[in-house]
Amino acid sequence: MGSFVDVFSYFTDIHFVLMVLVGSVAGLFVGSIPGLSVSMATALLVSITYSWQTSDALATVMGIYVVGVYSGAISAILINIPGAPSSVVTTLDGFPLANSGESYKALKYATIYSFVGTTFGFLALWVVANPISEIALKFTPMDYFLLALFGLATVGSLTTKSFSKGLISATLGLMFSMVGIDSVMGTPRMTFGLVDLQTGISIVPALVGLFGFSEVLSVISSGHQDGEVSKIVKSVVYVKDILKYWGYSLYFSLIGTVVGALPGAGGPVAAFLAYGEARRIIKKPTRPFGEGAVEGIVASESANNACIGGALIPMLTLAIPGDAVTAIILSVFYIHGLRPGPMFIKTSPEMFHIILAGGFIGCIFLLLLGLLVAPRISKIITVPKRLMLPIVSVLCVVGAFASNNRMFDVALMIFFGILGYFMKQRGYSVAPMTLAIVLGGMMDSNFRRAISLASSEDNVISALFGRPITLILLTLTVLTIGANIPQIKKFFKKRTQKTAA
Amino acid sequence: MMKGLKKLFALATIGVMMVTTACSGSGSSTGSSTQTEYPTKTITMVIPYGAGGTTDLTGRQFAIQLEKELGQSITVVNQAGASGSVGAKTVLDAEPDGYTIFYTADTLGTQRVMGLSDMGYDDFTPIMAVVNDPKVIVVGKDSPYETINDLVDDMIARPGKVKMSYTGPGGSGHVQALIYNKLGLDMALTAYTSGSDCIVAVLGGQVDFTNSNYSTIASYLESGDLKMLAVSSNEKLPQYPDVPTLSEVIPEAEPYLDIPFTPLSLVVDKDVPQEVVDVLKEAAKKAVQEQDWIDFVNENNLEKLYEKYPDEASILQFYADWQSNICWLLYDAGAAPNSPEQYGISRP
Amino acid sequence: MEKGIKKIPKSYLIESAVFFILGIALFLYAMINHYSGIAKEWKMSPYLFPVLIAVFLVLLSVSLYSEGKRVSGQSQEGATPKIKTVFIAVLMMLGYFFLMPLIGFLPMTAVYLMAFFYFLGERHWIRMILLSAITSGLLYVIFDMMLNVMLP
Repeated sequence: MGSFVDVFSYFTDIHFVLMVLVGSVAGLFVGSIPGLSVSMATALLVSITYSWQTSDALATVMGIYVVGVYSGAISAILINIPGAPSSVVTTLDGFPLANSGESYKALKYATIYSFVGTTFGFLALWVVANPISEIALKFTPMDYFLLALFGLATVGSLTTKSFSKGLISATLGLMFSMVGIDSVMGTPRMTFGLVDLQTGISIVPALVGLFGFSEVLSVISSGHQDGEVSKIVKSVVYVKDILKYWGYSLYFSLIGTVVGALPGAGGPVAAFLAYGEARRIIKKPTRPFGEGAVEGIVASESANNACIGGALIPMLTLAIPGDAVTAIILSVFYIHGLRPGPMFIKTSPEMFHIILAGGFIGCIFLLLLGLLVAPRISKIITVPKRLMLPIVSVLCVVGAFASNNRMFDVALMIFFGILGYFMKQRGYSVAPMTLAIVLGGMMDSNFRRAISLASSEDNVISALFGRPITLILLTLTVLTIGANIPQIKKFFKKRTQKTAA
Repeated sequence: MMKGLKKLFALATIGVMMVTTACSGSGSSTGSSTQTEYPTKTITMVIPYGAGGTTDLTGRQFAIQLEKELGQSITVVNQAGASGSVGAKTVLDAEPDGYTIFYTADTLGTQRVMGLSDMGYDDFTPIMAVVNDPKVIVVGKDSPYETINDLVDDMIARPGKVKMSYTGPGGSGHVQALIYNKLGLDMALTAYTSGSDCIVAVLGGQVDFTNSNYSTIASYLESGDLKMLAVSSNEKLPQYPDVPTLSEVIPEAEPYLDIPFTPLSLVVDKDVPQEVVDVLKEAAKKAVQEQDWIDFVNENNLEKLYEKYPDEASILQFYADWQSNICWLLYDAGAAPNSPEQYGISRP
Repeated sequence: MEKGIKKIPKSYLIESAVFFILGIALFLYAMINHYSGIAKEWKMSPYLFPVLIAVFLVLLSVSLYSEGKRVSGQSQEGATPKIKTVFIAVLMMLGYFFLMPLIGFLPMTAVYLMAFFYFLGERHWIRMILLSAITSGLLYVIFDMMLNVMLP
């Protein structure tokens, strides 16, 4: 275990630790402001760190990445605007919990389990990078498609009482994701002649509109804006209580790491799958899921943070970025003359160790900064709504604009805000739509790829579905959808009654 | 109103790209009246593809050399999308003052016939035809094909059944496939998003082979995960004397393989003043003499186009020939929706 | 069923109709575009997936309709939403959006915030002025100066 010493030698390198700290503070900042994304921050960093030493640049990037992904949860919990798509799931339980006055508790859980998740992900990257990248290679286009479909079906069934409404929300999201230039054939579609639509509907305006602006409108319409101010519940949150979930957390982290290693799926899918698992295996949550269950936060935060380590695996071993952030980190690598690929870990072990060390030190800063900031920032919920809402709406505008520097995105944000408002009024959850917008493009291209690959085979059906991973995913998807169709439910109920009788 | 907004977007996009010019006011001195002063601030190099592709790799290396010669830093910006037309549009939308330069790939010549944009090589002034990344045919390490003959024989034996991954219509992989078709080889094509994705499809056994740029696969050859069967050219790679060219196996291929398939060049908006163009040309000429650059080119088996097409006239001639060859090939195969004739591109 | 024809809640009826029509429209749009495009093969057509989505949407609208049948009878109306206030809030947002490029980010944001505060019932003038000035100023400094976002 010589590499062990190599990695931890960086812990005593004050300069290195400081660079990670700089990144971590920046990450905390951009992650928690809606609209400022981690990918944007890393993109900025690319130009700033251009002339830096490679180790400094990587240290800063890892700090931003690790803490930035975590701090998306802060705005998700406090003002119901997820900082990034992967924090969408955190809003489901985090926001209700905070709204009932326990914002501090929600933040503390998020911090500790983000730490667990991230650490797990980096350990996996360290120890089993190659086996996991072998698994990722085994995934065919059909599998990616089914994985995304499975994710959407899970979300549809979890977030709303009515399964049809959940799936309709997802389907509409898929429709929105079709807008823009098709990534496979390069032809514009559903742009209706609007040049601004050619780049497609970016996720940030949609996210900010569907969650943030629609929330503003919802509160106004319910007339609560001058109502009671949420009081912070003065309760002590014992670390002992928090740590009760470590076993579950490891399981969710495992989901996060594996899904994170599949390019294109990433954080949001991992978080949703973990959330689905949490609802399945935890029978007695502290509160019902969706109303402020800390178990929901544990699942979401463990999984989406474990994705970091996972997403770095295909990036380092195959030069395929797992998500938008790793795509930019990849370019940081290229700028500094590093060539990720099958030989990277072997030929540049010192760089690999820098990444690991940066990640682990980032984890520690995540914990420290999170615990330091949480008690202070959690007071934000005591600000009267009539002052909070206007500020949130301005944040929505700035956030939507900042993602691409386009006024058009602000218009999109307003559109999605109004749409989200009506959806919420009518009991449609906006979460499936968000996930669908994120995944739509990847589902589309992989579905077509799968059809195209199979069409040259003699037996199309076996070419499409004849592999173990595909069969498992297909069964899971069919079961999830099937179990929610009322007629089938009834049928099975009758049968069990019959056999019982 | 709409026009004002559009201009605003364009300005804003450029603004963000010039991140390093920190204190940038929006009204960057538009009328560059004293031209000899070029360059006085950071230059933005737009690369119309994502990080890690051959355009990105060579472009960034070139930027490093160019930076030294110009004495100003160059910010490289990746603007991927729509076969390079997104990046091209950004460059044309920017102020034509020479502070936005464009490192373009071959697709600039095919965008119009592919119906992606109305831009072509004619909208830009060439600074230098830089390099060509050779196309090679690769298979996975466990592939049953040991030589290029195995692959060719199988394609003839099972037409339309051997699977190949490519980067989508109009790209250089597609052009390769169309050439193989002309040689009587018929395969099943599946489009992937990027060159690396095409490689992953080969590694994962989803497809039987792919046609890739050499630089994309170099490290996989080293690790032994891929086997290189042939070079899609008339000339062998200097580092691999044992790997045959395609025209050695199929002699009829020779006339088709004479052109560089992924010519990468540095261009600027055609409205950029001549003085600025001259400064850039001079710097580019010096940049390719640097030892670092020469090492880089040799290491990646790149073809030096600047030796083949040294001056503007020869570059323009090269572009014209290239456009006419490739565009008609695409159009005749039914892959391109617009006739090259529409854009004044005559048949080769 | 024995009770005779159940009344489907109007909202369900409207929504399933809307989604049904949307699904059909998407289907037609995809079909028309596919056959007028160059790629006649479905396997690589950009419109293959939209067709799939359209079919899904139509199926789901039917499923929503049948769900409406089941929930009929159960009243599910909560507090009546204040549509008028929402409408005004959206109008204010639109005003903000359209005037910002003309007036500039800083003054427009301050004005918008003031108006919104007032609209939501805040009457403490000093607090309103301070808060709107600080918020817009802070955002401007963070985004425009530190992050190079070119706010209008």
